[in-house]
Amino acid sequence: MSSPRTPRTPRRPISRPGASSSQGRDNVSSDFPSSPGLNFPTSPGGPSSGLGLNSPLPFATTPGFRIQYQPGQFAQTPVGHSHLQDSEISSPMAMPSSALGSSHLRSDMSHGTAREGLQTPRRRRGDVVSSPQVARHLALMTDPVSDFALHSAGAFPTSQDNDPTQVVKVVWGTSVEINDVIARFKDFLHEFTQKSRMTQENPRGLYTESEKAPFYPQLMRRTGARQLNLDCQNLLYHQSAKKVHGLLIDYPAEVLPLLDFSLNEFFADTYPEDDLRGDSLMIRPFNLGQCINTRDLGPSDIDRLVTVKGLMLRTSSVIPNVKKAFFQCLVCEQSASSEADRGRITEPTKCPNQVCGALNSMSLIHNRGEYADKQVCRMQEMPESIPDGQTPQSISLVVHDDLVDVCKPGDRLEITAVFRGVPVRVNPRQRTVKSLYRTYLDVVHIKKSDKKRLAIDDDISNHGGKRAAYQGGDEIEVQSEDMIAKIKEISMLPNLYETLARSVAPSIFEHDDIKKGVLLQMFGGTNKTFRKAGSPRYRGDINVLLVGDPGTSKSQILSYVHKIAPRGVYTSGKGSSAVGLTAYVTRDPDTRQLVLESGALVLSDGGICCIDEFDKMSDATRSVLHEVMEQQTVSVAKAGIITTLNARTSLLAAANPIHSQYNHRLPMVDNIDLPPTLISRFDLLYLVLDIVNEQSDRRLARHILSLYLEDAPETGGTDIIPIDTLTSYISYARNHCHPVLSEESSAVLVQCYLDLRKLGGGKQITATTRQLESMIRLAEARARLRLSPDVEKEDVEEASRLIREGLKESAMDPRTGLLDMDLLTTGQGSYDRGHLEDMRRELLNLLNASDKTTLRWADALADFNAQSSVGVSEEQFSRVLGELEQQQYIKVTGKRGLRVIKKLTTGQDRE
Amino acid sequence: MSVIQHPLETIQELFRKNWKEGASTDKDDFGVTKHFQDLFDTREKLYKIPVLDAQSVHTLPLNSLVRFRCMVQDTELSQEVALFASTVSNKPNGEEMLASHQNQELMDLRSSYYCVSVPGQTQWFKDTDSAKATDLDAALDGLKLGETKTSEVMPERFPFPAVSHFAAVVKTHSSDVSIGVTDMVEVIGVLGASDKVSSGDSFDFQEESATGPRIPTVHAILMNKVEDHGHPELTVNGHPTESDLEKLLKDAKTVREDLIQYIAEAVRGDKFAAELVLLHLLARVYSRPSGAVLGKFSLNLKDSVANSPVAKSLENVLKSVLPKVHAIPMTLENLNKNFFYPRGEEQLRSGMLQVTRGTLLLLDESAMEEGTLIDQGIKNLKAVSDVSLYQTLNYVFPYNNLEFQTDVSLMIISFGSSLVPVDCGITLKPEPSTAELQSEPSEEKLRAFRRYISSLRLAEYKLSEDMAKEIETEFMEQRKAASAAGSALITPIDLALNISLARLVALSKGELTLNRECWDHAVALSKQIKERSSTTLSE
Repeated sequence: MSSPRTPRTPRRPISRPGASSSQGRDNVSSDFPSSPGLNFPTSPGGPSSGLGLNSPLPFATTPGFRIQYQPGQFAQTPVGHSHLQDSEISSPMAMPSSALGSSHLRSDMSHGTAREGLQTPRRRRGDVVSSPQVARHLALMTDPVSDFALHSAGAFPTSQDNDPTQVVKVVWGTSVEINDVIARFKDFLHEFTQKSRMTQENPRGLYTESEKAPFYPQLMRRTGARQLNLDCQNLLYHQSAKKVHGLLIDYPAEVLPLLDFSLNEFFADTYPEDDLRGDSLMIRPFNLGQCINTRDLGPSDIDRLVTVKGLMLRTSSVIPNVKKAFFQCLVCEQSASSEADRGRITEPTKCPNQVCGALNSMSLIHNRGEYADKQVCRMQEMPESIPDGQTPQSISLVVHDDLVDVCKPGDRLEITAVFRGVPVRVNPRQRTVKSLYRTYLDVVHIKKSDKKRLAIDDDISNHGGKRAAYQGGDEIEVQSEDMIAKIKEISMLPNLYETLARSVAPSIFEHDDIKKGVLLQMFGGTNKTFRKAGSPRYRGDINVLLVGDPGTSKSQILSYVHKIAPRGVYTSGKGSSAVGLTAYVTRDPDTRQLVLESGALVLSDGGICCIDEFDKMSDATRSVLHEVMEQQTVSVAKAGIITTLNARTSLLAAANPIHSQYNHRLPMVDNIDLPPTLISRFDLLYLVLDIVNEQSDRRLARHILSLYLEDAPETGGTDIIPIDTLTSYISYARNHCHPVLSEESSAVLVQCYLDLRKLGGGKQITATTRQLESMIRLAEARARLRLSPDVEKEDVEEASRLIREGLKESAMDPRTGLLDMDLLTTGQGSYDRGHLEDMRRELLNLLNASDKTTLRWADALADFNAQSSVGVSEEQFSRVLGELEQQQYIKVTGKRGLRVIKKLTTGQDRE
Repeated sequence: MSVIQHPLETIQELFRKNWKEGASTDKDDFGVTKHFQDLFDTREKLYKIPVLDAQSVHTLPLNSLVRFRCMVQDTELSQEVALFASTVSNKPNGEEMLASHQNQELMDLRSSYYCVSVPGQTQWFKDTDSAKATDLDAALDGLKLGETKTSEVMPERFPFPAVSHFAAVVKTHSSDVSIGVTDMVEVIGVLGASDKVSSGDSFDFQEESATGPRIPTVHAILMNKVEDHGHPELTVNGHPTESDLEKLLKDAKTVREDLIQYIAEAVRGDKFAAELVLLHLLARVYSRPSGAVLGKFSLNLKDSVANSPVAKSLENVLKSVLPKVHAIPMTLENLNKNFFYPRGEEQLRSGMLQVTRGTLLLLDESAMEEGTLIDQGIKNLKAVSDVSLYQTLNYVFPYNNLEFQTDVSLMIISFGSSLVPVDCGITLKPEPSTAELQSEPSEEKLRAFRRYISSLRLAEYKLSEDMAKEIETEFMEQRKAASAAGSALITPIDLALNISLARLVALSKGELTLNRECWDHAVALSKQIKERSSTTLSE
């Protein structure tokens, strides 16, 4: 590509009308009118006008504080450099020979007026202020004066160079060749297709038409935004633009304006019908390829383009940043304006009006200046990348223009920015600085890492009608997160289910089925709403109850789940009030001990509520649980306010047997002090029993001892998934996967349910619809665990297996050896019912035999037990009495120990 | 030594000798660290360096060498980049000099730590540290005084509210990440001027933040991490020397008896409780294999009378033998109003649980009354429970929490059971007969106690394979017997408790490996604990 506009080299100064003497601070002075280099306005070794000056904030105000740029770049002495340029660069034209400050030139570039009638950018970048040389050069490329220069070049050809296309211009101190970069980037914009990138990632692919067509014209057409998000990876896939990538990272201040310039020209060429109305397009580069941790940002990164990930902590309010100040003379009302140069406005000390010329008469007119938005934010490094024992580090960000208010505190971001360092002043009124530099990032691009969050934010900002136009990505490219890739990888494991189950509480030995159940609980079934049926919500949460001997690590499982589950709450049944929103310390009336009442259930909405010592819960709390476990709400009636709070929580509860040790001769319901109605609401019931078995005991002891011995401890297995990965896996699955039952799996489900019903042999009820629902939930959870959208046959089979195993332990009547669901639902099995009938008859006989009309309750029980061959418990006795009372044979009066049984004559008569 | 008064000259000298431009990529070191390490390689030599504290900061001259023993409260003050070296008229120079534009400059990343005096330091511990320095203070009097340095602190950055302390910003050029939050470090460095700490929210990067207290700065040359207890009479890093340890082990049994007697007086004559307290003092987290925490032993002493005097007397006893103790009254007001966990807002504010490893916190729950525990209080209580159960502490930052590992000994005095779950809780059984014998042990004895605790806590303990086999078999047989007899089974949790008790018992007797005698003793203790812990529940 040729660059015909390259200005040539007239050797005479060009005076410009209206060029006032707004003196640039970097002394581009007339002291060196014949200084030969384009980019070398100052004397070699003098105060640098080089790289340190790109900051929009005051910088390099002290002579001599030049930041080391790139080792090697500075290796050449400035003098050597100027020689080099002498020979290479043939445009001293670019050297302003008047006492024109660079800022003034730049203002020509960026504030092109209608007078010039060109598409010069009106908006100026806030993030990267182009370096003076580049600005000057670009100004010449669009300025009519440069046309003049071109013509005059023809008139006065220089000795060094005759062919304008061979001119090589290098920005001083860098390896940026201005024309080369512009040419390469334009080629890139014209030629790059998505195909070229995709081919390298996947050589055999089929591409759509749009993927084969040049990408950027399409993108610009589609978005219509005033900015172009440039995925820097794309540069690498384009032959000639590869070089730009490296340059962009090393010299953003030089290269970015060049890219902007190329883009604007490109746009004007491609869409000549589009009028930007004086606006300019901006390049926002992102995805540099390598993310640097804020912690590792060091001196060598200063003034380079970096990509950093982090968590937004807080943002300042929008600060109007003066770009151009307007002054008026108090004496003659002559006006003058002054451009902000690196964040500083030079106030004219003298009225520019020749006639007036008053000293110190210029006053600032606030409302006629030009302002741009600026915001200062604080970003914390990603929690994942903090080394052990360190507190998180945070860094300041400065965002400009369009990027202001794009992100909110709490957002996870990937920022592409220029890393800056500014020396700290000893005193704000003095120019003296310390050897200490404070660092910050000048943001050029913001990408939100959390896609889901992004969607929400867009909505909000649309409602506000503000800055909805900002888009972080380049739309077509979807970035896959490392974590998601890892999660996907895990989901491909051959024995995923077993591996995940093993990873649950690895320090706990065995209990594989319990781990599986708890694991499925954490994944949960899908919540369904059937609008037609009118039921508001169908719970997908799985409730699990662990019953077992003390000291069998039930609590450990609970606390593990609490640790891993999102929004988990751990509480002890003792003294926990399910409804309380604030906790209350009360003194237990019995023991005079202080106990804590906390509002566990409401707190764990959307998570798992772990309740230890479930059986010790007060009756009032239990009644609340009935509601929670089916309707998933908590109704609170307090101080005249009746309200229903959501408690969409899974329950993981642990209970101890009544008599500290589990009695194998009794069915489960008789072993725990819980109403059957509550027990039946649990999807899975596990008995955690301490069974004496020589082999497993030895293994257990070995397991514990191995922790204390020097050698590595045995755990559930070596291939376990670390806890934080498991946590993110679960939350990913919960958020992204909502499996549904397929036709085939429903058929299997029905069969499994029928099989379960058949187990009772027709006499006992072995499964109710509750078990069917549980089965569905568990199957869904297992499909979710596989990240599968469909529930498959094996999911159903596993669900039914888990339920059967659970029932085998909990609903088995040890007296008959049969499964009996009634045991769970009503607390008495069919065996009990037959037994009860016998007792009723016997008791009636006993009562009739006695001649007294009233009997003391305790005496009656003692008499009854004396004549019975099997022991009759108080509970059974009162149940029988209750039945008789209902049939109006007797009446029981009094309370507790003073109960009296009174025979009713009516009953006797009837007999 | 002139190096103490003018350390910068020494550094300058080293710089001139060793630094060659471009020669070394490691900018931290042109022999400085090594030079100073060699210079101060023993405790005696270290003690020659004056201690920096709230008093001495006013008298110590600027740019002199100081010694500062502190806790790292925050590792991430705002990041700074500083000129590392620069040249003035082609004369090579050291740090912190004015620079010119002639030559290449080097920049360096500098980390700064906010350090506070070690929380909960007991008086005797402070005394041993500074006593030796007093001779030198006299010598330093002759020196000219530097400008008066202000020394202020940020009270919210010290764990305990309303406890006076001293704080300094320690700046280091090394990027050693092994120094983390709550580490106890001994800094040897150059005293710098007092500066305002930038809180990071200043939006003008060039200006010093205008508000905030002025905190003295120490430019660290050496930063030694002090292990655990850090008994000042032990070596630099806190471990006892070989020969010391041997002697200690030999005397351990007699010291043990004396110490139990001494503690028993504080716990109303209950010798069994006193023994557990002793074991508690020796406990530390020594390993965290695959999620489990080994070695922790939080203790709950339940007193049967309200407003128990035990808390106060025990605090006094502990303070006389331990280097770091702090008593926290668990009143509702304290729980609701103060913070137990650190949280980062503008800056990392401290919480009462942010203490160095090996600190004993005495939680006095007997002071608790009935009332409402607000949200803050629940979070605090949760933080205490986490420390007791997992020895981890959550630092709360906006939008995320970070978990840090701790090793804090929690001793809870309560009326009835504590609200905090503990490893071991027993009811006190007062024995009034001994209550009269409240005699202060001699200074000599106290010193023996201190050495005993500090060194045995850190001693290396081993469980032999043979002993493990025996325990294993015993466990199985006990279970078999219990199952046959129908009595309560010994559970794996009991076994774990027994094993950790055995470790502490062995250590307390000066044994570094477990033997039969110690094991039986531990099992007996465990049985007694069970009896004592269940008494309140049934009554």
